[in-house]
Amino acid sequence: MLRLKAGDGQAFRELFEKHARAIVNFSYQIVGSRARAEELTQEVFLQLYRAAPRYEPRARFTTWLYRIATNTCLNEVRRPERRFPTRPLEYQREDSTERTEIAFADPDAERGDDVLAGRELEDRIRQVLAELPGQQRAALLMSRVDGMSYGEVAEALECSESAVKSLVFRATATMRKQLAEFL
Amino acid sequence: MSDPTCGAIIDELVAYLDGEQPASERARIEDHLGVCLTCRRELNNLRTVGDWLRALPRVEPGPELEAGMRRLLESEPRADLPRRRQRVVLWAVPSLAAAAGVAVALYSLLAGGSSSGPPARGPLPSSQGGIAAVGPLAGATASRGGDVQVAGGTQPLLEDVPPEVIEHPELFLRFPVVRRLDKLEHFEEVRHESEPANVQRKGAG
Repeated sequence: MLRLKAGDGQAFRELFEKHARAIVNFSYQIVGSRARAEELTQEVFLQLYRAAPRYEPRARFTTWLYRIATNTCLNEVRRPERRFPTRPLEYQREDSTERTEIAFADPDAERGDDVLAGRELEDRIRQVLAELPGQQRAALLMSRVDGMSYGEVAEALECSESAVKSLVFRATATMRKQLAEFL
Repeated sequence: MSDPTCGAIIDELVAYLDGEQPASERARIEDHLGVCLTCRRELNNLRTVGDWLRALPRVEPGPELEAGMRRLLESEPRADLPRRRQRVVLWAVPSLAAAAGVAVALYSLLAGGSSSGPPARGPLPSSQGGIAAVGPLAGATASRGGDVQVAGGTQPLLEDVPPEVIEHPELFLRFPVVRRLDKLEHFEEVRHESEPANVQRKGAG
C-alpha cells in the first residue's frame, strides 16, 4: 500500500490479485449475489485506490481493507430496495453446485439423498446467515471464515473487542439454534 | 445443563473456540469440560457450526472482475492520484510523448528554417538512417540522430527523436503544432503535392 501511495501502479495490481478473491467471497456471503459481490469488490478497490494518497499504516492493511469492504457491503444491504429480499434464493446455486456436494455431502455416498441433504444444509446455512443482522454477519465471517482475530475484527468494524466477542457469540448461538435439526 | 456453572461456561465457549480467552480462563473452561458431558456436546455443536461456515463453497471471480476494475481506473479522475503517479500515467502513453517531442522539433525547424536557405521543394530522398516525412512535412527528413534535413541544410533538433515518430510520422500530422505548418507559405506547395488526389494524378500522368 505504501508503494501505491508512492505512485507505484504495479503495487495496485499486486494488491488486487492478492486480495480480490477474498473480498469477493466476503461480499458474496453478505449480499448473496456473485455479480453484485464482484461489483462491490471493484468499488472497494476503487475506494482503496482513491484513499492511497492519504493512507497511513496505523493498522494491518487487511484490517483496513475489510473495514472498507464491510462498510460497502453493509451500505448495500441497507439500501431501501433490498429491505425485503428473497433471501435464500438470492444465493446463486449455479455458483456453487459442484463444490456444495464436496463440502456438505459424503463424497463416498452413492445415494442421491445424501447429496440433496448436503444441498439442503447449505441452503439452510445461507438462509440463517442472511437473516443475521449485518454487523453480526460481518463479524462472524471475518472471525470464522477469514481467520481474523477479535482485535482485527474490532478495528475493521470500528468497535471494541468486547463488542466483537458479543457479536460473534450471538451470531454463532443463533446459527447453532437454527441449524439444530442438522446437528 | 446439570451444573449451575454451565450457563456461564457456554457463554464463553465461542470465544474459547476462537482462541480469544486468556490462559487462566481457558484453564477454567477446560476443567469444566473435563467433567461436564453437556458442555462438551455444546462445544462440539458450536465447532461444527464453525466448520460448516468455513466449508461454504467459495466463488471464483470471473474475468470480468479484473476487466471491470481496469475500466473503472481508466475513468478515474487524475486529480485523485498521487502526484508521481499522474506523471507516470501521462507519460506512459508513448504517442503523446512522441507527439510532444515532434512538436518541439518542428518548432525549432520553423524558427531556424524559415529565415534562411531555400524553401523545401517536394520530397527529398531519405538520408541514411532517416525517413522521408509525408504530408505537410514532405520537405523535411528526420534522422535517428535527431537532425531534420531540409533542402539546402541540416537543422539541429532534438537529441533523441522518438522512435514512434521515425517509424510512423503520419500518425503525428494532426498534432496542433504540426498543423501550423500548413499556414507557412513555403510548405503550401509541398502540402498541395502531397495531397492524395494530386499524388494519384501525378502517378497516372
